[in-house]
Amino acid sequence: MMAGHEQEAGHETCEVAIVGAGPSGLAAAALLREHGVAVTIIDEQSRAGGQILRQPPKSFSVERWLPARLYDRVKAALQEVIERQEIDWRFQSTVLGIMRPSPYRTQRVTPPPVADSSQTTRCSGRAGPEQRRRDGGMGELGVVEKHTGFAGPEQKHRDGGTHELGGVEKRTGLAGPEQSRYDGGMHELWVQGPSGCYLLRAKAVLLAPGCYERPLAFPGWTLPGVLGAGAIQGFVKSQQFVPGDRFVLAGSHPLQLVVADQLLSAGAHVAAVVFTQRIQQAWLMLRHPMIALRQHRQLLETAHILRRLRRAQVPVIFGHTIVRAEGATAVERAMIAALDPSGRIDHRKTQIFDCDRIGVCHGFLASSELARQVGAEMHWKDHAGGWLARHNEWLESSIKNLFLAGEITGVEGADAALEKGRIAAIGILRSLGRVDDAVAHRLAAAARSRLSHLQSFAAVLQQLARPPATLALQTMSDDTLLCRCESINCGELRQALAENKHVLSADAAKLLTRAGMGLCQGRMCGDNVARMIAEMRSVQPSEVGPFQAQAPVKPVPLATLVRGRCG
Amino acid sequence: MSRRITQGVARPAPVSILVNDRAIEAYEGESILTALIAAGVLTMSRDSFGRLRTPFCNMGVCFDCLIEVEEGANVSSRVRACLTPVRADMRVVVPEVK
Amino acid sequence: MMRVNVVVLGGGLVGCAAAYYLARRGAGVLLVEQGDLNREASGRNAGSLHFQLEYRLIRYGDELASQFAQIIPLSLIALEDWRGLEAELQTGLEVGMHGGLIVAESDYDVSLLESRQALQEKWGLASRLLSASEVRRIAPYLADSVIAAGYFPHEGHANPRLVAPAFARRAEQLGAIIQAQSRVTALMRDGAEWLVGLVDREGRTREVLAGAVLNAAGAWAGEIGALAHLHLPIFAVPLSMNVIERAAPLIPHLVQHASQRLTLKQVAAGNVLVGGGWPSRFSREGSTMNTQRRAEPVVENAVANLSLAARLVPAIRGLHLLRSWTGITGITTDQMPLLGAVPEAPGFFVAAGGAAFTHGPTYARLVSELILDGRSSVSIYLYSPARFSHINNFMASV
Ligand SMILES: Cc1cc2nc3c(=O)[nH]c(=O)nc-3n(C[C@H](O)[C@H](O)[C@H](O)COP(=O)(O)OP(=O)(O)OC[C@H]3O[C@@H](n4cnc5c(N)ncnc54)[C@H](O)[C@@H]3O)c2cc1C
Ligand SMILES: Cc1cc2nc3c(=O)[nH]c(=O)nc-3n(C[C@H](O)[C@H](O)[C@H](O)COP(=O)(O)OP(=O)(O)OC[C@H]3O[C@@H](n4cnc5c(N)ncnc54)[C@H](O)[C@@H]3O)c2cc1C
Ligand code: FES
Repeated sequence: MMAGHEQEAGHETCEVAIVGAGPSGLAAAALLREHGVAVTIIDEQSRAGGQILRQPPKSFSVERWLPARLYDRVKAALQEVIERQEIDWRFQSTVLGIMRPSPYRTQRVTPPPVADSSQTTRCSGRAGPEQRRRDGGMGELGVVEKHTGFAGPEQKHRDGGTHELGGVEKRTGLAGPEQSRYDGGMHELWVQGPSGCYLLRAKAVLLAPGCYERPLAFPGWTLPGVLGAGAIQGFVKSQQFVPGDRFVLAGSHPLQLVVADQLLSAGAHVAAVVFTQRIQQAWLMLRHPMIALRQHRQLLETAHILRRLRRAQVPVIFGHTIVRAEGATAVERAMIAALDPSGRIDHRKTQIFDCDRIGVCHGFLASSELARQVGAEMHWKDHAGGWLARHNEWLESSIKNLFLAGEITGVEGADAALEKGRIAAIGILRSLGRVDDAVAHRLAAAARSRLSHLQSFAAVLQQLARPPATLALQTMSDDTLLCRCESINCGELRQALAENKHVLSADAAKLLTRAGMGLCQGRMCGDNVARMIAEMRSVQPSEVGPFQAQAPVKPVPLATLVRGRCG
Repeated sequence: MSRRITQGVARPAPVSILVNDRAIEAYEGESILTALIAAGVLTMSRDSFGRLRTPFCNMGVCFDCLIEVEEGANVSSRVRACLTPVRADMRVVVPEVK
Repeated sequence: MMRVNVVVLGGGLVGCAAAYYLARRGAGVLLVEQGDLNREASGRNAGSLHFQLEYRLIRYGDELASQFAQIIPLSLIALEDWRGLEAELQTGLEVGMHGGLIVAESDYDVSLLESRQALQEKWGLASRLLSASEVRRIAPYLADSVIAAGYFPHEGHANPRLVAPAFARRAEQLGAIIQAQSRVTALMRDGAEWLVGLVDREGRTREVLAGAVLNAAGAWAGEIGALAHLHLPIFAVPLSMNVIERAAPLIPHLVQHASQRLTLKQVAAGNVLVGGGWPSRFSREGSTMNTQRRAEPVVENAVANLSLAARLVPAIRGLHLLRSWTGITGITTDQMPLLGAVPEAPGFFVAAGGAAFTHGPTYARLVSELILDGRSSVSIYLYSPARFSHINNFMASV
C-alpha cells in the first residue's frame, strides 16, 4: 500500500440544522433561538435573506434598499435574526445530501475528551479503531483500503475563518455531542463548505430551500441575454446592477410587473411586459374578492406599478407569449405571438421588440431535490411548484425529524414562508421535547391562522398566474434545445419516446437520451421533459415522476470532495 | 449596455481582476457574474460540443455560469460565477468568443 | 389464457437479450418486467467490459482465484460477442475496446498482477505485464505512483444505457411481447408446462402458460426461484457508481487497480465513470434489510472511491462529480454465474449472477440455445445450477 492518508472521521453534531436562510429558515431560526435551541443555518449564498431579499454584498452600502412595502415583513424577520448573535451561520455552503448515519460508525456512548470548552463547535465521537474499515480477509497481507475521514477539527476552524467574513454573523454556544448509540432519528448532512466537504449530524433538520424559476424552452432561449425574470431582479436587488439596456419581460407571473418596475426605477428601458393571460383574466386576478379583501396591500402595489409603467410608456401586452429570441451572438429581438382563447399560439399574429435582454417568468418550481434524495414522500401540484414534500400539521415530512418550510411545501410567497417557518420551528420544539403538545398548539395558533389566510390567497394567485396548460408543449419545437447541459433537442426526446414505447418515466427517458444528466442535474429540463412524456403517453406529469434525486444534489469539484485526503 | 447603479450606493474602492488576459474593474464582494456581465462577457463556458453557454438563473441552479478562477499561485478552481464574490487579483478564465 | 414457448422473467440486459435470441429463432416469447426495462443493475452499472480477472476474484488468495479463473472461457466468448454486437443489433452501443489496465502501486500489487497473469495465461487470455515506462507511454494520464500494470488490449466499455433497450427493440421487431410494469408473483408446474402468474400496473392478475421459464431477475433471481420452491444461492449486494462531468478525451482505457476497488473509464460523451465495487447500503425496515428498494449511498465510500480515482488520474481533480447512484447486483456463493437448467425443475432455466454486463449477451445467447435445442453451442456446464443439486434435491418436486 502506498502512503495512506488516513484520518480519523470526525463527526460534528449540531442540534437543529436549517437548510436555507430565506424567510422561512430565518423565521424558524428566530423562534428556535427564543426557546434556547442551538441552530446551524446553511446556505449557498453569501448572506441571509433568500431569494426575495437577496441582500447586497457586505462591502456595499445601499441607501434605499428594497423600499417597496411588500418587503417589510421579510425585512423585519431578517433584522430579528441578524441581531441574534448565537447562530452558527454557514454561508457559501451547499448541502449535498441528507444521509442516514452509518451503522458502522455509531457513536460511542462515552464521549471522548474534548479539548476546547465552549465557543466553537465541537466534534463529537471521533472514529475509534473499530470504525476504520478493514477491507476483506487479507489482513495479514496488509491490504487495507484506507478511507473515510471527513473534515476533522482543523477543517472546522478553517471554515470558521470564512464565516468571519460574515461580520455580524458569529457563531457560539452549540449543543453538546449526541450520545445516542444508534443515532435513532438523526440525520447527517453532507455539506460542501468553503474549504472542503464534511458531514454534520443533526437531531432535527429543517429543509427550507425555496424555489427557482420554471424555465420555458422556446426557440432561442439559450441565446446570451435570455434570463429568468427573477435572475434579472437578483442583479438589481442584490448587486445594484442593471444587467442590460433594453428589457422585454414575458411570462405569466405577476412578479414580472415588480421586476419591470424595479428596472425602471434603476433607469433601464423596458421595451414591453408581455402576459400570457388575456386582459379579462388579468382583471379577474386583480378584482378577485380574495385579493381585493385580504391583499389590498398587494393590490395597491400592483396598481401603483401599472401606473408607473404607463407613465413610462411601457407597453403591457396581454394574451401574448414569447415565441422566439433572435440575434446573431446575443439577444437582439424578442418575438411574441398572440394566444387564442383556448391557449393556442397564433403564429400569424406576431410582434417584434428590439431588446438586449429577455426575462422569462412562468412561475416557480420548488427546490425539492433534497427531500426527494432523502426519500421523503412527495406529491405533484402543478403551478404550486411541481413536486412538493408531504407533511403533517407540524410540517414534519414523512421522515422523522425532517421538517419542511417555505416554498418546498407549495410556492405560496414570502409571507407564507415566514409563517411556515414558525410552525415548523414549533414542530421541532415539540419533537425535541422542549414543549408539550398543548403548548405547541397554543404557540402555533396565530401563525396557523395567518398562514391559512395567506394560503387561500396563494391558491387563487397560483390559478391566475399560470400559463396556458399546453404553452410549453407548443414552444418546444423539435429544434428547440431541451437540455442545456447535454445539448439535447426537444425533437430527440420525441423521437426516443416514439421508438421506445416502454419509456414511461422521466428517469427512463433520461437514461435513454441523456436529457437531465448534466451539471444542473435536470433542474432546467426536468419539468419540460415530464410534460412532453405526459403528453405523448396521455398521462399526467405526476405519473411520469421527477428525475430521481441523488446525493450530491449539486455537482461538486472532485478536488473539494477529496480535499485533505489526496494529494 | 449594462451598468452599475451608483445613486445611493456606496461601493468599496474598485479592484482589478483579469478576465483571460484582459484587466477589468470590479468591486470586492460583488458576484463574479456581475463583474463579467458589466464587462460585456455573457458566455461563461463551453460544453463539449463547443456550444457556448450563458447564465440563466443567477442563483446557483443552472450551472451555466461555471467558470475557472485562479487565485494566488496556480490555485485554480471552477465555481459558479453567480455565487462567488470577486476578490482582488483573481484571474477568471472564460472561453474566447471570436 | 395466453400460451408462449418461453416466459422471460426480468427486463434487464440478460432478459432483454434472451428475448431477442429466442425470438430470432422463432420462439414465442413473453418478457415480464416488474418496473421499467433496464432500470436495475443493467442500466446502472459501470459498463466495463471485463475480460481480465476482476479484483473481487483475485483478492481471496491464490487457491480461490484459481477456482474463479474458470470464468475466463466465458469471457473469451463474450469478447467475440461484443465485437459483433453493434452489427447484430444494427445500432450504436458506444462499444470501445481500446485496452484495459490493472495498475499496481506497490510490490504487493505487482505480486497480485503476477499471479493474475499466470492464471490468465493458463486459461488462454493473452494479457501481459507492462513496466512503469511502458505504462507511461500508453497511459500518460496515470500518476507516477503507478509502477506496473496488467494489460489486455481488448478490454473496454460500452454504454449500459443503450444495450438492453437495443435488444428489447429488436426482440419486439421479431415478435417478442414485452410487458413492463408487471410483476411475476407465481410460478407453478402445470403438466409439462409452467403457469406464470403476473400482476400488472393496474393491479390486475393474469396467467400465462409457457413451455419454459427463464429466470433473468438478476439480484432477485433467488426470489423468483422461491416462487418455484427452489433455492438459488444468489445474494443481492448494493453497489455505488459515480459520474464525473464531461472532459476532452483523455482516458482511452478501462483502468482498474490491482489491490483496491476501482474501475475508471471515459465514455463516448466525455464523462468519466468511477466505480469498482464500493458498497452502498440497503435500507432497513424493522429488523430486515429491504433489498427491493433503492439502496442508500454511503458518502464515505463515494469519497474513498473518488479519492482513489483522483490519485491515479490527477487530471480529473479539477472536474465536478456530477452524480452518484446506487445499484443492486447479484453475487452467487461461489462467484460463478448461475447459467443453465435447474435439473430438479424441468423447464426452469436461470441466467444470473457475475459480471453480467460483460457476460450478459453471452449468457442470453447460450441459455437460449439450451432452451430451444437442449444444448448450447459451447459447454456452459461449469456454470450450471446443477452444481447446487445437493440443495434443490430437497426442494423441488413438492
Ligand atoms: C429568482 C427569484 C426571485 C423571487 N423574487 C420574489 C419577489 O421579488 N417577491 C416575492 O414575493 N417573491 C419572490 N420570489 C419567491 C420567493 O422565493 C419566496 O417568496 C421566498 O423567498 C421563499 O422563501 P423560502 O424561505 O421558502 O426560500 P428562499 O428565499 O428561496 O430561500 C432558500 C434558500 O435556501 C438556499 N438553498 C437551497 N438549496 C440549498 C442547498 N442544497 N444547500 C444550501 N443552501 C440551499 C438558497 O440559497 C436560498 O437562499 C422569488 C423567487 C425566485 C426564485
Ligand atoms: C453499480 C454496479 C456496477 C456494475 N458494474 C459492472 C461492470 O462494469 N461490468 C459488468 O460486467 N457488470 C457490472 N455490474 C454487474 C451487472 O450490472 C449485472 O450483473 C447485470 O446488469 C445483471 O443483469 P440482469 O439482467 O441479470 O439483472 P438486472 O438488470 O438487475 O435485471 C433484473 C430485472 O428483474 C426484474 N425483476 C426482479 N424480480 C421480478 C419479478 N418478481 N417480476 C418481474 N421482474 C422482476 C428487476 O426489476 C430487474 O429489472 C455492475 C453492477 C452494479 C450494481
Ligand atoms: S447563473 Fe445559474 S448557476 Fe449561476
